[in-house]
Amino acid sequence: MTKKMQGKNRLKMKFINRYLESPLILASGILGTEAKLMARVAATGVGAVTTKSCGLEPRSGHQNPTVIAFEHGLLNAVGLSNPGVEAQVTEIKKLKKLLKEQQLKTKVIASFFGFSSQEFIQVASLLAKAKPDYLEMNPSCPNVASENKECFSDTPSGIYELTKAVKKVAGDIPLIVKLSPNVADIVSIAKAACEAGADAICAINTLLGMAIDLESGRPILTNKMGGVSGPAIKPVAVRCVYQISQAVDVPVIGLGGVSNADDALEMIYAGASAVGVGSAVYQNGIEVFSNINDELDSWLIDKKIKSIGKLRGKAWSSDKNV
Amino acid sequence: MTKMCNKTNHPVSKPIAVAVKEIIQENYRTVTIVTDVRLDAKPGQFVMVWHPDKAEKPFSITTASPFSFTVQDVGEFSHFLVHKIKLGDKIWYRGPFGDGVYQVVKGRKILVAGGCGCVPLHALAKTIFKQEGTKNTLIIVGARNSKELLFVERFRSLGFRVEVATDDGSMGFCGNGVELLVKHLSEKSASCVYSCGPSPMLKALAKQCHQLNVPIQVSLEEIMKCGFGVCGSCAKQGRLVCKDGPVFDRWL
Repeated sequence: MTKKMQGKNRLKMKFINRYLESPLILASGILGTEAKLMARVAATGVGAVTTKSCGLEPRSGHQNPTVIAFEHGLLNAVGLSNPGVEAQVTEIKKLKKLLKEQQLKTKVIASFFGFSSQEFIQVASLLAKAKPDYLEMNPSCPNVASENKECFSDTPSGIYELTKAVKKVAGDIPLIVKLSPNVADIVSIAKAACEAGADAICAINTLLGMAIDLESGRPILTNKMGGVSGPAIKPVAVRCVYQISQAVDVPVIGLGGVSNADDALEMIYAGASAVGVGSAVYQNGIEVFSNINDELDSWLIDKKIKSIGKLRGKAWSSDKNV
Repeated sequence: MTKMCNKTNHPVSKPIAVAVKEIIQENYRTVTIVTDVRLDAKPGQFVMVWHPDKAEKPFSITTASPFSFTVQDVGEFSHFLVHKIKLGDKIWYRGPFGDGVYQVVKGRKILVAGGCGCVPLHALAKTIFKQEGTKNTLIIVGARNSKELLFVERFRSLGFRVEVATDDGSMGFCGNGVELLVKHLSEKSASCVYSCGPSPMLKALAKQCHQLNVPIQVSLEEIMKCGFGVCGSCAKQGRLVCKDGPVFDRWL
């Protein structure tokens, strides 16, 4: 924690088996490539940092253009570029060492993917050796659909089988399952993940989208389609968190379009136990995390609220029959 | 509940199409592509250049007004740009990017360019020229041989003192730019050394300047995807080359 952050007990939030110093989490795929960079984010006062999703083998991802900013958010098809699980284990160990040296209580979430259930299981068991605080399974990247050998995230049965298998190798490291909004019924998928033993749900991954250049008449992204994030998807994310958090008994990380304290509170009101921040780094830089923390803390003091956790699910009372 | 914060608007970063107005042959495998737009860019900033038939890659800005960039035929995309782009064709760019830019300091300055490293240093030289003229600045241009030299005439036509270093001695000092720099620094120190060039050269330059206690500003290169500080592809020692750089006051 930065000195400024010390004593901000109002922001402490219970998440699965422990407390996060702040409900804010660095979302997967943003800045999560290097230990020193993640330690820099940790120093801004986030509760946890998520490493960029890693797979079994090193992968360079799609060709540029891979990321653009449109009027209301980002569109990306980075395509799961990563150094492979072996290098990632080293990086996570390095990160944990840096956090310890800097006396930061920031938790580490290790995100991972596979192109088959066998790969998911292999990567999870190898990643577990780095002893991250949490594992986050990402079966929901919209940018690699053609490479997936199985459909994981679009059916309850697919997510059930995968979660069950991965849970067996995760040992005592809690497993977060990240869900795609590109499905008809996200609640049934969240329920299936929880029945299979998921310890938390992360909602939502990006929405599948596209942008076309008018001068050339071509899709801008080399992959043609990509994931939409940022302010444009916030109402979708809030809706998903609202539905899922009432349907399951595990905590939910609310993620999608959060760029200020109002957005973070909206997620918590919807039922989130932690709030992911990603694309907002584009507009506001790495300082976005400390800015949101400061704004939340001042607001809680002003409202005489002792713990932000008390606000979780405040919007539920409006509708008990979702 | 009252609004706690005002949302900033979301800046757009989509490729913008511009027409090619002029193509300048710089040496046997290097051209400068001049467009018909003006950029509000600082020396050291870069753009992501896209062509829908090929790829998108970062390029230093040679001149901001009009916007031009320089391409050396070294790979598939640069080969395409050097050989296939004609006058009147469209080219796309995003940017300019980079918060870390060259800062002009007072006193004696030495600019050391290796190969294509001339490009951002050209933008810097123009700024120095406008701010204080050419008298406090020496420019060292290094290359493997005389055929590979770049921008020597551009710098000279601005009025700068230019010294050339070639590895094979085919023109000017026989040796690399860093060796020539050390020779000059041993005669008279400098308030800052500015550089851009191949990584091994920059690393050697940083080491020498550190030993001689001379401040540096070096422009670094990394593989980039977004260009605006979110994807983390260009992370180096906790810094983002695209956003925190590309100009740093040390080798990372």
